[in-house]
Amino acid sequence: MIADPLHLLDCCVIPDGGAAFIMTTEDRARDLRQPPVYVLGASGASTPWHVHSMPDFGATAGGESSTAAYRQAGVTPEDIDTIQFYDSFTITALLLLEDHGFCAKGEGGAYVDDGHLHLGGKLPLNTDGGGLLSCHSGMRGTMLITEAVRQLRGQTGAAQVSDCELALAAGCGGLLSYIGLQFCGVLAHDPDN
Amino acid sequence: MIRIIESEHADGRSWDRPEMVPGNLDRQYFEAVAKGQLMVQRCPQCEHRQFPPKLIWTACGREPEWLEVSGDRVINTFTIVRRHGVEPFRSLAPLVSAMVDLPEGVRLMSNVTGIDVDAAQVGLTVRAYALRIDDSMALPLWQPATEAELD
Repeated sequence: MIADPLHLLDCCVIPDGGAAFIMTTEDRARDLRQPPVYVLGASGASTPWHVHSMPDFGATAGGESSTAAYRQAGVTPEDIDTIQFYDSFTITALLLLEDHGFCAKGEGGAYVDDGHLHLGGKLPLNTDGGGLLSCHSGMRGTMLITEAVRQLRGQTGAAQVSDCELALAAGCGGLLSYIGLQFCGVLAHDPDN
Repeated sequence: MIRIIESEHADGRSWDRPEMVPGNLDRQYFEAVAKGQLMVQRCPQCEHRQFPPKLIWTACGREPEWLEVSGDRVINTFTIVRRHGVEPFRSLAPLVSAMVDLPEGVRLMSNVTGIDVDAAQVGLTVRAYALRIDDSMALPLWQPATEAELD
């Protein structure tokens, strides 16, 4: 046990690592060697940065940010093929699942138990292993986006989600792992390819 | 008033947690604790309270006033930190890190000491005390209290 109820494997190990991506205009992207991936919607939202100031201890700013991003992209949670969530601790991903509308508040645990998040399930989660299993370099949010992009390009090999056309990446941060800011990007593959 | 203790160590050695270098507003808070006063902020107009201290009242933008509170209340939620990577917290573990709801309408987070960590529970009644940081500042912590002590 590290801190009740989080056991060793519920917590990320912080290693070295890095990731990067290039954002450019649609016209320029078409001439690059890699197939472009489009940002269809993005939003950010924050709640108070101190955990004892949160108006609702069990809710993140993900509800507000995801609602705006879904509206901008013109999609619903049911349209998403894979999600890449920040998972500093297992509870982080559970809260984000609920707040981004994939299941009702308080039902995240049962939703995971139903197997939806496995490869082959209806909503594969963190197909690179996430921060818990692959790498949490302190810049985990960038890796959420690079993995979503690789999925949409069909470049993830054995971890590939079949017919992956729409991905959601959402990160969060704050003092002492309190969730203070959300970034939600809905990405789609090149409609012409 | 809350009780001040000079050291958390049996051998009486002084503050050995990380150095505290608070800004002006937070310094006022920790200096009040060193005088036995646990303070939150109160809006002079709308009577709402807020914590941690801020330059303005987040609801109406006015300048808040200090309000002394008793520090007696129940644990709202908590965790037990059983492993910690750095000293002195490594040696202090396992320790209870709890959020405490005060009757004045604010929630504070600190450690509950003087308790078998596995006896910690939501609803446990605790009483604030102060741990000496230096000549001018002290840190508020909690320890279990009986209902009789609070009356």
